[in-house]
Amino acid sequence: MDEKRWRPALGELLAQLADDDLVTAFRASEWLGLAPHLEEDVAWSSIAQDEMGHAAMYFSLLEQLGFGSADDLAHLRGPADRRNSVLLERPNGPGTYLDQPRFDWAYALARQYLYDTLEALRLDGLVESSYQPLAELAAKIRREERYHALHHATWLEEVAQAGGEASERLRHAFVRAAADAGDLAYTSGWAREWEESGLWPDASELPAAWAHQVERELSHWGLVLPPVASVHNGRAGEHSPDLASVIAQLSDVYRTDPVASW
Amino acid sequence: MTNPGQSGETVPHQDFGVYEVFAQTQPLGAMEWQASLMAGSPQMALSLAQQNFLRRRQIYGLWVVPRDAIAKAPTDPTDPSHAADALFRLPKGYRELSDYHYLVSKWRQYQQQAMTPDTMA
Repeated sequence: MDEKRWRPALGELLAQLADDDLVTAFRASEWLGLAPHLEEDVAWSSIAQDEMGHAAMYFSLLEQLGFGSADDLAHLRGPADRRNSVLLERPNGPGTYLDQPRFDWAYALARQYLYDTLEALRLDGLVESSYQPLAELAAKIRREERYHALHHATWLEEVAQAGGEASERLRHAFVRAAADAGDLAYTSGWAREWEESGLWPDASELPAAWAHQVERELSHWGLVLPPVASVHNGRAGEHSPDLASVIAQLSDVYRTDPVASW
Repeated sequence: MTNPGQSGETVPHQDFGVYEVFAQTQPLGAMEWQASLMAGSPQMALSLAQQNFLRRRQIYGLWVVPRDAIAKAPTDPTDPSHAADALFRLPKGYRELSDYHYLVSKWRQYQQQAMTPDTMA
C-alpha cells in the first residue's frame, strides 16, 4: 500500500473507528451504578472499558501515522473534527449521570445492537485491510466484539420476547435509535478510496449489508427496523449538541493541563 | 414519580433467580464451582458468567445451574442424613493408611531373622 498517497483516506477511516468506540465507551460508562441489576452493571461496565481500550488502540495507530498524540486526539479535538455516528453520542435518556439520570435501558440495548451489527460487519472487512497494522488490530478486536454482541443479543431477545411494557419500550427505543442511525453505515464518500487502496476492501457494501442483517435479525425477534434517518451526518463532522457535552465531560481533567503526564 | 422500569426504581424481578456457575479449567478436568450470580434466564446467566467471572481465563466447559435445581442435604447435625457428619459410622480403621503402620516394624523384624525351615513354619 502506498502509505503517502492514501494517508488522508486512512486517517479518515481510523478516525471513524476511534471516535465511534470512544463515544460508545463514554455513554456505556454512564450506566455505572444505574444498570438494571448488579451483575449487568459489572458486565456493561466491563464492555465499556473494552470499547475504550479499542478506541485507544485506534488512536495510537493515528499517533503512529503522525496525526497527533492519541490523548490529544481523544480529548482536544472539537466536534467538527469528530467522525463518530450521531446515534452513538446521544444521551442514555432524560437527565444526566449526576443529575436525575432517568436513563432508558431499552434505548441502550437498541442503540448497542445497531452498533454491534455495524461493527461486526466493518471488522469482517477490515481484517482484510491492506494496512497491516489495522488488519491485525481488527482481528484482535473482532474476537472480543463477538462476546459483546452475544451479550447484547441475549438481552435484546429476552426483552423482545417478554411482551407487555418491556417489548413496547423496546419498539419505541428502536424508533428513536433508527431516527439517528442514518450516518452509522454512511461512509461519507470515502468508500471508493478505501476500496481502491484496499484499506477496507468491501466498504461500499456496508450500508446494504447492515440494513439487511438488522432487518433479518429483528424480524426473528418479532421486531421491525423503523425508518432509518439522520438529522446530522457525524461522518462529515456534523454533530448534535450532545457531542459537545460528551467532549466537555470526557476531557474536563485533561484540559486543565494537557502537557501533564498522566 | 418515575415510570416503572426506569433506573433508580426498584422493580420486582419475578423471573430472577440465583445461578451457580461451574467451569472446566482443564480440557479433561472436572467441572468446578466458580461463582453465584443472579440472572433472568439460563442464557443470560451464561453470558454474565463469561463477562464477569471468566474474562481472562481459558475454559473448556461452562455450566450454569439454577440454585433451585440443587437438592441439599440437611445442615442440622442432629438430622440422621446430615451431610457433614461422618462420625456416626463405627470406627473403620482398616480403611485408613495409618492403620497399617505396624506392618513396617513387622517387615523389619522378619528381615532381621534368619530364615530356617523352623521359623518359616
